[in-house]
Amino acid sequence: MSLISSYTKYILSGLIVLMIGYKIWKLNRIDFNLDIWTKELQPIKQNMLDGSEVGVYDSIKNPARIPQLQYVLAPVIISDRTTADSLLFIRPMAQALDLKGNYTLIKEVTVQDVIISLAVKKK
Amino acid sequence: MLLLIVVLLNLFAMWYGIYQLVKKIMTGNKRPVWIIASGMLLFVLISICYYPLLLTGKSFEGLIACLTIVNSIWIYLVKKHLFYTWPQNLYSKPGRSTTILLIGVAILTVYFVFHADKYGSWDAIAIWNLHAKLAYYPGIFQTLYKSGEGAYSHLDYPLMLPSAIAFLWHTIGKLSTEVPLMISYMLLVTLPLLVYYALKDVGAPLSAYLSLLIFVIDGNFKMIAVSQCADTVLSALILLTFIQYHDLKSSGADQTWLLGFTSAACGWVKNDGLLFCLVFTAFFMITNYKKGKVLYRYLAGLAFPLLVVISFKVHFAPANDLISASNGQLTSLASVLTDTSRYLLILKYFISTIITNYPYALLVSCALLIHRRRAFLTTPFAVIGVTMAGFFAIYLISPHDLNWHLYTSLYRVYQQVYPSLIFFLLLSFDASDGKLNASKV
Repeated sequence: MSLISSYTKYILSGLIVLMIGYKIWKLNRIDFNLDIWTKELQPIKQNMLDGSEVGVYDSIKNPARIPQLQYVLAPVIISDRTTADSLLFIRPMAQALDLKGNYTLIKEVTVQDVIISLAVKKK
Repeated sequence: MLLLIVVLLNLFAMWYGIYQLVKKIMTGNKRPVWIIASGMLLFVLISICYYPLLLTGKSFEGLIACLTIVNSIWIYLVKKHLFYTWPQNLYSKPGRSTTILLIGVAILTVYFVFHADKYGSWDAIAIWNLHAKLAYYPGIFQTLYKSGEGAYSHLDYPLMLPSAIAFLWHTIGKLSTEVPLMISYMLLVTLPLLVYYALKDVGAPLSAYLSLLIFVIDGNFKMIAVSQCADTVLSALILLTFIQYHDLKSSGADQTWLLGFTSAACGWVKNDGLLFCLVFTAFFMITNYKKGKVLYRYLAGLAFPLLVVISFKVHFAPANDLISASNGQLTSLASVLTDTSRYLLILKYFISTIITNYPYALLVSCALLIHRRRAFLTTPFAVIGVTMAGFFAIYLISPHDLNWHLYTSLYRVYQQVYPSLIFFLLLSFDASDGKLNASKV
């Protein structure tokens, strides 16, 4: 009986370690939204300086977008200011880009169902 | 790789040092509680150690060099004692209850496998892990915090969890989602174990098994624990404060500095923890006002984490939304305080949240009310009650939409005191009156 009990302890311990290992392995195999955004926004991030501020002009007006961009693009400061020197224009696929006349396009990427354009104010 | 090895050796040295101190102070408890308590305190300590980097912008390697020197000095000073106590401290034969505990841990792990998100809940992404990402860059942290005001949410939240995550990210050399994920898993498992062992140590084995059962089947507890938010970290430290308090009270010891340290560490986790620290300290001082030595030691322990919190509030934190000038409720305080509909709404949420999210706590409370209602007149229940009353007052002057504020936060506020509540409720079933009466503390 005690032999079964001691084996049970080892089996349970092994099972717990295996479950944790499986969880980490599984999470790394799945591309979550934030993984996709991190990967697709890489070309834009390369054009930003760490610690600099970039505003967002989101024509879709998704309230979750700014925190999502803040997480993905950190340590670049993403704010909701639409008059910043650097601006991320976010628009749906069907919509044409409107740089409001005084911005120059630097880089553009498509992430899932939206187009994100990095633009800087004309001097 | 070399950095990883050096950091791990330092962490082990720090943990072992804390373990020795915890063992000397928490004499009423046994090895499992000492191990878990020293692990939690190590977690607090690494976040405090990381904080000077954020202030100065210096490199992580410099911090590790300083830690290596400090650890080498204390190991050199106590080496004889260290080697004498090493074997009997770290080896222990598993008891008969180990199988039951492992079944409990396995069930919690199954929940973790099926329900834990890679990035945690929305709050974890937008607040805790985002702040950790900012803290990962000590060189530009001041710039990020100052320029980020208005852009980022809740920059006034203390940095214990973000700093600890950033420390561990530097240790492994990359920003990895596994770090906050594993922290949440460790909390999911260690909190029930801490309650279990603490109850067992005070001679309440049946209550210990019941507590384990409650945590294993409580879906609300598990959901919040795997969310990667700081509420469960706070609940662990509040529980540790109460376990120490009960132990000191029962044993009559007067080594209260670690108790002060732990209660102030709650304030380093969340602003909610500052409220708990304030209430606990007030009760502690009132009940011990004649014992100068006890109070002096408590305040000495309290000072260190509190100084870190004050430094953070002075250097980095913007005004909290409750006390900022933009809170219109403060300018019309009289009308807010006389608005009965706000009181009723808060009361409704306070009651309905207990019924829907914490039925086990309600059930055990009712049972204790029938069995031994005098137990509710003890200091721990008074501290929990006054803390919740404090939250009631905070909701009253909340500048946010009250329905939204209560709906999105109250269930997590309860989680902060939930493990402590379960601990004291179950303890009160077994405890004789003598166990709950004060001795030196």
